[in-house]
Amino acid sequence: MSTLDIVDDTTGVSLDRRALRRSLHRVGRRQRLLSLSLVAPLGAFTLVFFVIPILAFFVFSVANTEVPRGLPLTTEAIKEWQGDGLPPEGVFEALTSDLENAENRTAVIGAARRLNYDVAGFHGLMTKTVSGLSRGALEAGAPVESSPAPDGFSIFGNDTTPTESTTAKPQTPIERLTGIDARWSQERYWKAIERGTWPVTPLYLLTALDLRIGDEGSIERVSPDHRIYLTLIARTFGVSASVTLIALILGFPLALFIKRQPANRASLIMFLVLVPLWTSILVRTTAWLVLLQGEGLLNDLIVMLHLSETRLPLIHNRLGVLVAMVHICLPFMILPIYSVMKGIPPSYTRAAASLGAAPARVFFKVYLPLVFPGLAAGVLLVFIMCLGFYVTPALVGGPRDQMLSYFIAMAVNRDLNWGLASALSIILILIVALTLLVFKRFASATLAR
Amino acid sequence: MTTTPLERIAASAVASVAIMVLLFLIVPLVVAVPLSFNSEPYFSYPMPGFSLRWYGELFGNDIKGLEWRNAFLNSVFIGICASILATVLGTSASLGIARGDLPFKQALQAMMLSPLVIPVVVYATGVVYFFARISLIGTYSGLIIAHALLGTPYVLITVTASLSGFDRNLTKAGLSLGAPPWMVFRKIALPLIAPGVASGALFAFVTSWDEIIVTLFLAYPDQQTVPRRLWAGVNEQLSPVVIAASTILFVITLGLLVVVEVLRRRNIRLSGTI
Repeated sequence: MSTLDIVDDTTGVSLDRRALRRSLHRVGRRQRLLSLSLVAPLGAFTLVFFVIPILAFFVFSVANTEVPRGLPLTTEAIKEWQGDGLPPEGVFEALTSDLENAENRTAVIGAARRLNYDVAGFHGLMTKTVSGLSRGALEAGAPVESSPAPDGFSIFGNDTTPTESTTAKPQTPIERLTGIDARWSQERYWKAIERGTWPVTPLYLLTALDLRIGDEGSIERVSPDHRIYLTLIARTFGVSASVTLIALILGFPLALFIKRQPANRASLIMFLVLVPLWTSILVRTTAWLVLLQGEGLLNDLIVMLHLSETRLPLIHNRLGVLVAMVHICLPFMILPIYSVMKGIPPSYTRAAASLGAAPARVFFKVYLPLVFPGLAAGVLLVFIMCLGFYVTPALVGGPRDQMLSYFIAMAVNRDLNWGLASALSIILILIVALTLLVFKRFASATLAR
Repeated sequence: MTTTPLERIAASAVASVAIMVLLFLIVPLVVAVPLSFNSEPYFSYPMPGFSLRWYGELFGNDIKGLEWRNAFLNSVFIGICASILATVLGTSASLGIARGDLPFKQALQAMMLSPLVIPVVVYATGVVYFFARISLIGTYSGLIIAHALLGTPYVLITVTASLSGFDRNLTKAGLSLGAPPWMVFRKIALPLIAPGVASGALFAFVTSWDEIIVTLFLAYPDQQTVPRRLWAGVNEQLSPVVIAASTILFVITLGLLVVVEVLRRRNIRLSGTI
C-alpha cells in the first residue's frame, strides 16, 4: 500500500494516489470504448461489405479446386507419379473412371476449363475423350439402339451415334485413352493435370504477367503472339500518366487565373469548374460522343471550315479516350492546386521581388515550391483515379485503348475466368499501393528539404 | 505595382490558356443540350425545327416512358436509402474519430477511407461473388449497401472537416449541465456540424445516383437505374431521347450545385470560416 498520500488543498481530505490513478484509468477506458463504439458500425460495415469481399476475391488468384473436384480419383492416383515419362497405368484408369462418372459432369467441365487455361486445347481433348469413352461403353453394352444417353450427355456436344463396331476385346486404360486421342501419350497434358492438383496455383498470376510454366517445369515467357497483359499494364500506366500530365498542364494556369481574379468572379469560375465535376460521367460521355463521332459536331465544324476534306476519326481511339478522361479529371486537378494557392500570402512573392529577384526567378524559386503540395495532391488524386477508369475507355475507346479494369470485368463477365480477374485485380491494386507509397516517400523527402 | 512587358505577356498567356480550359470544361456539356429539342433525330446544327417530342417520349405513357420513369424512381429510391445509410454510419464514425482517443485510429481510418482508392471494378467483382453467397444479388438491399459503402468516405471527410473547427467545450458544458448524451448531440453538436453532414449526404447521394459499374455487376435486368439506361443508350444507338435524359440530369445537377453553394454560404456565415 502506498503511503504517499496526496492531500487536497481545499478540503484537506487525503487521496489515495493509486485509487485516483485507477479511477482516471477507468474513465479513460470508458471514453475510449465510447469512441470505439461510435466508429464500430462503419468499421464493421466496411470490413464486412468491402474488405472481406475483396480479400475473398483475391483468393481466386491462387485457388486450385477445379481439378480435384472434377477428377477426384485422378488427383489421388497421380500422387504416385514421379513426373518422368508417362504416369503409371493406375492414373490412366483413374482418369477413365473420373470421365465416365456421369454424375460429376459439371465438375468435369470445370476441370476441363481450368486445364484449358494451362494448356490450350485441353478442353477439346477432354470433350473428345468423354464422348469417346461413352461411345466405347455403348459398344460394349449389347443393345446399342435402345440404350439412352445419360443425363448431361449432350453438354459435351456428342451427337454421333456408334456406327462402326470394333472388335469387342478388352483394352487397357492406356490403350483406350491413347486410342481416343494420341495426345494422352504426351507428357505435357499429364503434367498439366498434375499441376492442377497442387493446393495453390501460380497459373493466373503468371498469366497476368505473360509468363507460364514450361514443359520443363521452369517459368518462361509465353509465345509473343500471346503476350497481352504486360502491354495492358504498360498501357494503363501510360494512359494514366498522360492524362495526369495533360490535366496538370491545363489545370495549373486555370488555378493561377482564378487566384488572380476578384473574389466574386473567382467564385463564379469555381462554379463553372464544379459543374462538370458534379455532372454524371455518363452524361459527359454522351456529350463527347455527340461532339466527336464521325457525324458529330466537331467534324461538322472541321468540314465546314475546310480544315480537312474528310471526317476525322476523333472517337473510339486513343485521342477520344484522352480527351474525355482529361475532361473528367481536370476539376480534381484544379481543386487542390487552387486551395493551396489561396493559402499563400502574396507578401512572400512581393518580398522576393522587392529583394531584386526577376519575375521568372520569383515564380520558380518562391511561388512554385509553395504551390508544390497542391500540385502533388492533384497529381496523386488524378493518377490514382485514372488507373481504375472503366466507363470512359469502354464507351469512347477502341479495343486497343482498354485498360486493366476493362479486362478484369471481361474476365469475369465473358470468360468466367475468376482466377485471371483476381490476378489482374491484384496487379492493379499493387500499382495503386505502389503509387501511394512512392508519393508518400517523395512528399516527406521534399518536406525534409 | 509596376509590371514589366514580360510579366504582362505571361499574365495574358495564362489568362488565354485558362479561358480555353474553361471553355473545354463547359462547352461539351451545353453544346448537346439544344439538340434534345431538335425536331429531327440528327445531331447536327442548324436544327430543322424545335420540338419537345423526345421529352414527350421520356414522359409518355408508352413502354419507353414507363421504363425511363421506373429507372428514375429506382435511382432516387436507391440514392436516398444509400445516402441515409452512409450519412448515419459516416457521421457516427466521424464523431468517434474527433474525440481523439480512438484506439487503432490510423488503421481504422485507412480502412474506412480505402473505398476511395480501390478501383471500383475490383470492388464490383469482389462484391458480386460475395453477394451471390449471401443471396443479395439482384436485390435492392444489395445495391443500397454497395452504393452506401462507396459514399461513406465522402461523409467521413466532410463531417470530420466540419468537426475540426468544433469546440468540444460546448458539448462538455451541455453534459455537465445534466443533458443526456443524445440530447447534447441533437441540440448542440448536430446543428453546428449540420452543413458538413448535409454536404456529406449530398456527396453520398450523388455517388449512388451516378454509379454504374457496381450496378452493372449486381443488378438484375429489371432493376433499371438512370445510369444503366444511359449506358445502354450510349452503347447501342445514341438517340435524341438519351440526350433529352442527359439534359434533365444536367439540370438536376445544376440545381444540386446551387443547394451546395447555399449550404457553403450558410456555413461561412455560421462559423466565420470557409
